[in-house]
Amino acid sequence: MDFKEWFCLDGRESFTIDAKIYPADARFYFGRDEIKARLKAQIRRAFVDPGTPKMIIYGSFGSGKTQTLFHLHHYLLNELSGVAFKPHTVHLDLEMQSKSDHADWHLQLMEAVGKDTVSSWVNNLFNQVPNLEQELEGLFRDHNLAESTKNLRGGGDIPFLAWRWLCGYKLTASDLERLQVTRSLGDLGAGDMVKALVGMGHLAERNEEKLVFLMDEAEQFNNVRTGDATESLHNYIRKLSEPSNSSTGFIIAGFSLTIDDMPEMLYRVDVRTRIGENNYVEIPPLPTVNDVQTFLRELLSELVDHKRAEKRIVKEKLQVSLETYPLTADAFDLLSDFASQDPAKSLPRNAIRALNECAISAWDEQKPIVGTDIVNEIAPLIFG
Amino acid sequence: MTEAALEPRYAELVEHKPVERFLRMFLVSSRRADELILISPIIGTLKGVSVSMERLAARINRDRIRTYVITNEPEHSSHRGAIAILSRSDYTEIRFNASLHAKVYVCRYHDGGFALLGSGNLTATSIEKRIEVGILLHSRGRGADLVRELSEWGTVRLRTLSKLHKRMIPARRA
Repeated sequence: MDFKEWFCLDGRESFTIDAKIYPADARFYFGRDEIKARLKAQIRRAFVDPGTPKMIIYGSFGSGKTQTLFHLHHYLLNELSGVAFKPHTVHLDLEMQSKSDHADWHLQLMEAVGKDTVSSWVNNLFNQVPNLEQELEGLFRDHNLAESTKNLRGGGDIPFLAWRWLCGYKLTASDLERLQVTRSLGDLGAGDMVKALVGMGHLAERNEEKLVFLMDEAEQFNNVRTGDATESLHNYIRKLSEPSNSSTGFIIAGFSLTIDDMPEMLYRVDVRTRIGENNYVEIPPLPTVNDVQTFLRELLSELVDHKRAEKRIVKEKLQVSLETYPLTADAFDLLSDFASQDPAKSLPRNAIRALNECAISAWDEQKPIVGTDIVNEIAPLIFG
Repeated sequence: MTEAALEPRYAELVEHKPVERFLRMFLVSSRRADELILISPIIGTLKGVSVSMERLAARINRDRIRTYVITNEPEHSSHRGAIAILSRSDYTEIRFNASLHAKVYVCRYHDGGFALLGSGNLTATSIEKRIEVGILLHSRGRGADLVRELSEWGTVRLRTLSKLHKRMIPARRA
């Protein structure tokens, strides 16, 4: 019998939840009903006004920000109903260095959407409207943007050139001429690039989709050290947050212990007032022992095959209930107690870690259940 | 704007002493690692190498780094010597797996880390005398997911396939 069979795990190798490793885990969101309900309600409202979600999620490492982002991704794709458009979600991890500026950010967003996606939107639109050029001019309100986007349907290397232009690469004069545009994107600053992104959002809407970026690792903005680069990034997010942008949404997640710790450009007053204070959502540690218990109970309920567990409990007369299996009731309470002692360490990541370690320890000793002896040995390693 | 913004470099080929490179990166860093994973069929005392097993163990103890060691049952004196050094630490867990052939080394910080995947054992012979090669993964871009997956593989899946020799000894709860 291997580890997963020993603990009656339901189609998984361990008690680890990690949507980055197991994409299906995006459907899980344990022990945070209030935050979950709040986020989902705000997202639903945002599709009405201002037209698309604009949110910032923050918290300490291990608090569940990434899982929150993945879960919202899952929600947008699978559960959201009653909105006019089908969300087209684009998930990316931000990557910033000391001199990264708005152009780097724009490039990451564009490449995350992908040339093929945008090309397919253009092709679909071509099939629907009598005059593609006119339609694109209306969506982008900029001749150069419309022209480049139209060129994604071109032949030869023109589509690739057009994509490079839309991503903000500086092109040669002859390439600009081939595309029939007057300048490179970004020549007029961050606003130029945001216009492209917002235009993409309108293009998505014409295809009955809503473009929403889910960006993780926002603490990367702290790597940017040059003043000009920081200001250009600030301009980019400020313009993306404008009420006039009702087509391209974003949910940005990053490490920050308090709202004041986050990269300054994200909470500067002009950005905060545009995004809205209530759209800055903290993912705190699990605040009380009850919260830890709820988290663990819900996790165990999903990860354990209850039919098999029940059979084992009965067959081997194990002193454990289905609700806390494979921990005894005392071990469950003790682990929850350990987990909530230090608020800074009362994190979902640590709770999952401790559960796995206790289970491995029981497995090493060929014990079918985890008792308080194991929790007393293992929990201090994780929670200090 | 640079091309690097598009796909940050997260993997590098290391052709010269890859295992020593990993150890040096771990020791030179002033950051306190959360976790160290050493998966190597053979482990030696690293005598004669710039980074000895004693020095590695001292760093593990100083920073109280949870360290997972998975290796073959030791047959040679150097292997047994290395196990003895690592066993003296409260923060190491050591497991044996007779089927182990993989060589994986992972250093995790709370916000990322790095990993080496390659041909080299954790021995002086491998470092000084053998032609080895490895891929060093950094927690950037797609590298972050790979480092995470290797860590999960080493600390959960492989551990449950390996026999416990020595467990970590935590402080007892008062």
